[in-house]
Amino acid sequence: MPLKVGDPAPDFSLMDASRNHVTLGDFKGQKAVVLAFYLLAFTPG
Amino acid sequence: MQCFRDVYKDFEGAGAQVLGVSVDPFPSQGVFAKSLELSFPLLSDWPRYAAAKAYDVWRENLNLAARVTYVIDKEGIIRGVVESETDMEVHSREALRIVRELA
Repeated sequence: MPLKVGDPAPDFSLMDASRNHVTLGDFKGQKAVVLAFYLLAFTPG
Repeated sequence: MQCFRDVYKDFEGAGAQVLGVSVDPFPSQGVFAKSLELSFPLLSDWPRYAAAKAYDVWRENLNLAARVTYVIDKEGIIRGVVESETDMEVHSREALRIVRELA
């Protein structure tokens, strides 16, 4: 099922370049999050 | 990701955190982030692509993630979905517009 406006965002746990985990919960109640998926390194955009 | 870098301060001003999510392994991603001098984190979804799958941007047949930008409010609700494979500038522009509406 594609996600749409109004849906709860699934939590995620991703690693940054220093291998720290970043989760959606880290920002809850504090900041909006812009989650930008992109294809491959060195592609334009 | 260049388009987000160029307007990063605008997102910051609107109280939003930009997170780039890549399906690339760490080495190339580190080079990528450094090469662009990004001021926001690039996060790795490699090798399991769990986030790409959870957010329905994983394309199993192509073995890659689609270019999709989600705007999530501070309560964890999706407020915007931007999809464009060709025009990356629309991702940052639309996301910023939505973020400003939320602020």
